[in-house]
Amino acid sequence: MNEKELLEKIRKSADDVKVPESILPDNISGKMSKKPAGVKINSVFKYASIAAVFVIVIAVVFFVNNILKNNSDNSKENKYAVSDDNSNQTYAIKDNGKQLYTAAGDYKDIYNAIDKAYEEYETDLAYDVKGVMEDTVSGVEEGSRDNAKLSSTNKYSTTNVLTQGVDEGDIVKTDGSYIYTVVNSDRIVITDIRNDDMKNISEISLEEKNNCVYNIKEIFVDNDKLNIISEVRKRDLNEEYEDYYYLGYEDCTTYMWTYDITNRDNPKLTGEISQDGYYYTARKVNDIICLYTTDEVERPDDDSDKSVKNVLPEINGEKILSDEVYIYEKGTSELIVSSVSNDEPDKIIDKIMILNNGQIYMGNKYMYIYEYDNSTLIARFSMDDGQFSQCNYANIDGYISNDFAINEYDGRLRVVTQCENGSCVSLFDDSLKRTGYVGNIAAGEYIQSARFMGNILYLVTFRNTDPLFIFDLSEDTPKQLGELEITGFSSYLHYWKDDMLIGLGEEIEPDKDDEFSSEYKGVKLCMFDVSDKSDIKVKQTLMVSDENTYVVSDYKMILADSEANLFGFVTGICSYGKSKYKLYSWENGEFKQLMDESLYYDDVVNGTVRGLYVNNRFYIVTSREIKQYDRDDNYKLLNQIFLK
Amino acid sequence: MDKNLVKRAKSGDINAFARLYEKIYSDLYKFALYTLRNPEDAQDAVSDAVVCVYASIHKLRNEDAFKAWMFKILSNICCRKIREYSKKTVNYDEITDSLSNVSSCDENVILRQLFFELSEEERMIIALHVFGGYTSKEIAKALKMNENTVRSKESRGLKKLADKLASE
Repeated sequence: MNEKELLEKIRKSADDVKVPESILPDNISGKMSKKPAGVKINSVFKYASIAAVFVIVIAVVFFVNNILKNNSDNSKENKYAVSDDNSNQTYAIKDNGKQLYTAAGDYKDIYNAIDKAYEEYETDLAYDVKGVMEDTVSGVEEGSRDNAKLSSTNKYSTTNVLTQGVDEGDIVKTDGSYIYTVVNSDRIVITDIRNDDMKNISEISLEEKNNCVYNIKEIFVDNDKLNIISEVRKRDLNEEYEDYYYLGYEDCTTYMWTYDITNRDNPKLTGEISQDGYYYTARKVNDIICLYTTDEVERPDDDSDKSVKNVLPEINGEKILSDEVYIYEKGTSELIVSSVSNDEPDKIIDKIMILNNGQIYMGNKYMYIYEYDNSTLIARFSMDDGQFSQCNYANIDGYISNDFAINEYDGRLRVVTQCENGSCVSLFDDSLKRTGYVGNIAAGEYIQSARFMGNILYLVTFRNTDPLFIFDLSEDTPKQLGELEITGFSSYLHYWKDDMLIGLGEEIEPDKDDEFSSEYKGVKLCMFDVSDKSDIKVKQTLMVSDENTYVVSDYKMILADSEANLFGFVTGICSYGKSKYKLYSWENGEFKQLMDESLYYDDVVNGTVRGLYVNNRFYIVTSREIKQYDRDDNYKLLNQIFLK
Repeated sequence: MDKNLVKRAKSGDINAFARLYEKIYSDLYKFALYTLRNPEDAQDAVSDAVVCVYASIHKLRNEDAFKAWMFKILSNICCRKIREYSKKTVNYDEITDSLSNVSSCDENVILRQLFFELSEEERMIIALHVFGGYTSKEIAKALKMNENTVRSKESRGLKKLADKLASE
C-alpha cells in the first residue's frame, strides 16, 4: 500500500465518526438568530453564554469572565468625559516621535527577531485565549466624497474608496466607456458600453497552466492602463485536496500585470511584477501603486546570512535585503510592501518588509502601518515618489476597530480607537505628535461606524441604542458638537449633499431588561440632517427589509453618489433566495426606491455584485453577467450580456 | 470562497459564521479526534477553537483563508491539550472502544486504533494532511517546523502504520 492509499484509508476510517451535538453548526449559533449583527463583543458574549449552557470548555468560562470583567464597570453615569480628571483610563501616549520599527542592521538582527518569536512559540504552545481577546470592533472611515467621476462627456461612478485621492483595486471598474470585470477569478472581460448594445470586446484569461492556479484579486483602470493583481499558486502534485484554494498548494506569489489598453480589443502586456506572499491589499496614489502581501516567515536553519536570506521573500526575483527589513521586537509573520509606477510597470521603485502583522492605512501624503500590542502602535512612512522612509511613530491606547477609523487630512492623522472604557478620538499634528483627544465616549459601547469629513467626525457607537456623535476637529482637541440617540445602529455612513448624512444599518428593538436580547428587525436607511451640528435631526428612517435579511457590509459593494442622487447596496447575505440589489434616491425629503432587483445568492456571498452608472444608464455587474437599466425610464431592464 | 460570509462574520454576524463553520466542522472534529484520541477533548478543542476564531475573526486579513486559519488555531489548541496529557497518564483503551458501536473487527475501527498508537506529532501531522488538506509546507508553517522534518515525520508515521496493518 502506498502513502496515498494509506492516507485515503485513514480518511475513510473517519467516515463513521459522529460529531457531538454540542458542536453542530445549529448549536453554535443556537438562539443567536435574533441578535444584532455587527456587535462583536455582545455577540460573542451572547454566544459564550449559550455555549456555556451547552457545556463547553474552561476556555469559554475564562473568556466570559474576561468580558464580564471588561463590561461590568461600564456604568451609565460614566457615559462621557472629556478630560483626564474624569476618565479612569489614561489614554496615554508614549514614546512619541521615535521610530516604531528598527531597521535591521544585518541578517543576524533578522535571525534573532525570528528566532525569538519561534523560541517563545515553542516554550509556550498554549494558544492564548486572552491574546485573542485583545481587540474587537467595527467601524468606518474618511471623508470620501461621492464616488463619481466626470469626464469630458461621461458621468460615471467609481469604486467606493476609504480616502478620496487614494484609489483602491476592485473586481469591477468602469471608465465611462467600458466595464472591466473580473470573472471567475481567472479572467478579465472588457465590455464596450458606449452603445446600448453592449459587447464583450476582449478577454484576458489566466486559466490554470503549468499546474499554476491564478486567483485574480483586484484590478485598477486608469486611462489606458489596466493593472491586474493575482495570486499565483503552484499545485503540489503530491497532494489532492482541492476543495479550498488555500490548501493543497505550494507557496503563494502575488503578481501584478500591467496592460496597455489603448486598443481595448487588444490589450498588450507591458509589465510584470512578482512579490512573494498572499495578497493583502493595494493602493494607488497618482501614478504609483503600492502592493501589500503577507506570509509567515519560516525559521532559518541557523543564524548564517545564507540561511536567513533563504527565508526572506523575493520581489521581482530579488530577495529583500537586510536593510529593507523593519523589526518590531520579534515576529513570525511578514508584511511585504513594494511600490511600482505605471510608467515603468516592470520596475520596483522601493520595497520593504515588516517582520510582524501590521495593518496599513494609506493617506494622500503618508503610509501608516499599525499594529496592536496592548495599545495601538502607528508607524508613519513618507513615500516620496514611491520611496518609503520611516519618519514618525505614535502609540495610543485602545485599538483601531476597522479601516474607517483611521484617517489623514491635510497631512494630519486622526484616529478613533476602541478603549476599555468607550471610544477615544485622537488628533495628531503633521509631525505625528498628538495634539489632543477626547476619551470615554459612549462608555460600554462599541464603534459601529465612523466618517471623517474635512474637519468633522461622525461617529456611531452601539450597545442597545445608536448614538450618533458629531465632533469638530478643527482645533487641537476634538470638540463634541452634537449627539443623537435612536434605536438600532448605522454600520455605514456617507455624507450627502445639503448637509445631510446617510446611515445604512440595522434596526434593533431594544429590550430594556436584557440588553443582550435585543431583537433584530431588519435593514434600515436613515437620513440625518446635520446642518445644525448641535441639533442633529432624523429626516427619515426607512425599513428596507424584514428581520430575515441582513445588509452586506463590504463598502466596495455600496454605491453612494449624492450628486447623481443614488445610494445602492446589497441585502440578503445570510438568507438564501432573498438577495437583492436595492437602489434609492433622496427626493423631496424622503427616500425613493428606484430598484429592488433579485440577485443570485452565490454572487452576494462571494461579493461579486457591483452597481454602477454611466450617464443615464445603470448597470448591475456580477461575475456572470452585466444587466443594463434605463435611468430615464423607471430603471427598466434594457439589455443584458453574459460574461461566462 | 465565501468572502462575504467571512466579511459578514467579521462584522459580528453569528449566522454568517455558522455557515462558514458548517462547511468544515466535520473535518475539524475528525482532525481533533484523530490528534487527541479522546472524543470529549476533541469536542472541547473544537468548541474552544470556535470561540477563539469568532472572537478574533476581524484579524483575518485574507478572506480566502478561513479554513486554513481555523485549522491553524485548532491545531494550536490541540498542541496545548497534548502538553497537558504529557503531565498525566491516561488509559485510551476504553476511549477508543467507545468511539464506534460497530464491532471491533470493523476495518475502520482497527485502522483508527492502530493510528492512535502513533506518536502525538505523527498523528497531528497526518491528521492535518488528511482532514485539513494541508501540504507539508503548510503544516510546517502551522506547526512552526522545518518542512523536511514534517515530510520525514509523516513518512515515518505512515510507514509505522502500514507495518502495523500488515501484522494485524
